[in-house]
Amino acid sequence: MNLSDLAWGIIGLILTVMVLSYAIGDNFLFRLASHIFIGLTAGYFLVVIIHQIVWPYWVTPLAVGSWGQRAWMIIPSALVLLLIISQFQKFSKLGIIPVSFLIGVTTAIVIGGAVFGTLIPQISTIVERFEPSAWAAAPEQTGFLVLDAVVMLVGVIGVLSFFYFGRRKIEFPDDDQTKRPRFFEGLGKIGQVFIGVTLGAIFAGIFSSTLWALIDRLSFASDLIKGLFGGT
Amino acid sequence: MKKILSAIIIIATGLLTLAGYLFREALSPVLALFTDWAILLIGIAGILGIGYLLRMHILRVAKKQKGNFYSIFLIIVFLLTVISGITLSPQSEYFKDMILNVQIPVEASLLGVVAITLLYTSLRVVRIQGWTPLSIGFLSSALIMLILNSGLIGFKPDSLAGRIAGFIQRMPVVGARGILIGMALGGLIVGLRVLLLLDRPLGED
Repeated sequence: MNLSDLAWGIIGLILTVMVLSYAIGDNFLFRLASHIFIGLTAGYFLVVIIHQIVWPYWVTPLAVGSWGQRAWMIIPSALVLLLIISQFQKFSKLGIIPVSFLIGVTTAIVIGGAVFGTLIPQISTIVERFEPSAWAAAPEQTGFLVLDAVVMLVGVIGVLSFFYFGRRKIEFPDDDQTKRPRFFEGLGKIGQVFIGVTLGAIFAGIFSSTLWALIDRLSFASDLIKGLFGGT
Repeated sequence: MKKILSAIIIIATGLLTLAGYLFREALSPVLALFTDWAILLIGIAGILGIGYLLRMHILRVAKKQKGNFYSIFLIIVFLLTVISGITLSPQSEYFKDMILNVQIPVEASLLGVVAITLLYTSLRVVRIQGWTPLSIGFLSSALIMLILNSGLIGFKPDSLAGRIAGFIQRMPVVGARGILIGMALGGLIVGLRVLLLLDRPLGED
């Protein structure tokens, strides 16, 4: 272990103890570690934004780009300036232009991503499970493949029924306005089981990794202390 | 005037970007251009956000408010990071060492704290929610997945037990697929409502 590794190791050990001290309740050490972490992360984000966004997307085209590229940079430069100026109370209304631009672009990206990135691929995958040629390719597993496909279809319809937020026409004033149609209510119950199963699996995954992280930290601390004091 | 200007910009940029998705060959330069501008604006918004964070802590120190001691550390670490990042570049080994040797211990220890909190919260699920299809599915799945993923029980992939275990391990994908499709439908509806001006994200009337 060289001097630099040792120094970083001790800093890591101190920070580990400071954060894990939260187990005995919110305290001075934990708050200090979190402020150091926030300061470092904010500084790192600023450096990354400058190096990976501001420099290549703004400064480089303006400084070394062709006249055409520079002309195209007038609009984003104006949007950036309006966004900065709008931070002053007196000019706050000017912020509506860059913010509206951002809303328009991000809305379109959300729609495009939802349709082309999620809906079409996910629905295709469900439909492909009912492909008879895939069942024929593994005859010994046909039963499992059919069961898999049916469970997938029923489960997805159930989950989507659980997300059904429409409500039936109120015929009587005493009708429960939040109640969904009986058909969707029933399917929604099946959906709830599948959502629970998914969340449970996600929980198991997160719990395993966080537990590994805790074990890793404790083992790191023990190794470093043994190394420092010559233990075995 | 403000309302009309905002509506025009949202519809024009939204429809042009959407057209870029649909007619990729003809309009991909427009899509790329708008995306680049949006990335730049988001970056600048991020810098402004960091500026606000720093301003708040500087004011806390200047006015000697409660917690100013922590703010001093935050400002010092922030300045050290920015100065070393700008002078050395984010690719520098020293800079990476500095970031990772603080980030990894803090994040890993925070995950350790999360592990304890998760265990405690999961035990409270039934007490708060009661025995619903959701809580039954959640607890049984968490337990089965922890056992299956621990590697304590081994199955031959071709055996019946192995196929059943594989089938059980694939079950969470069903719900995940449903949730993904639900989220995409929700995003699609909200997006269309914004583009058709049925919703006003800027909140002006």
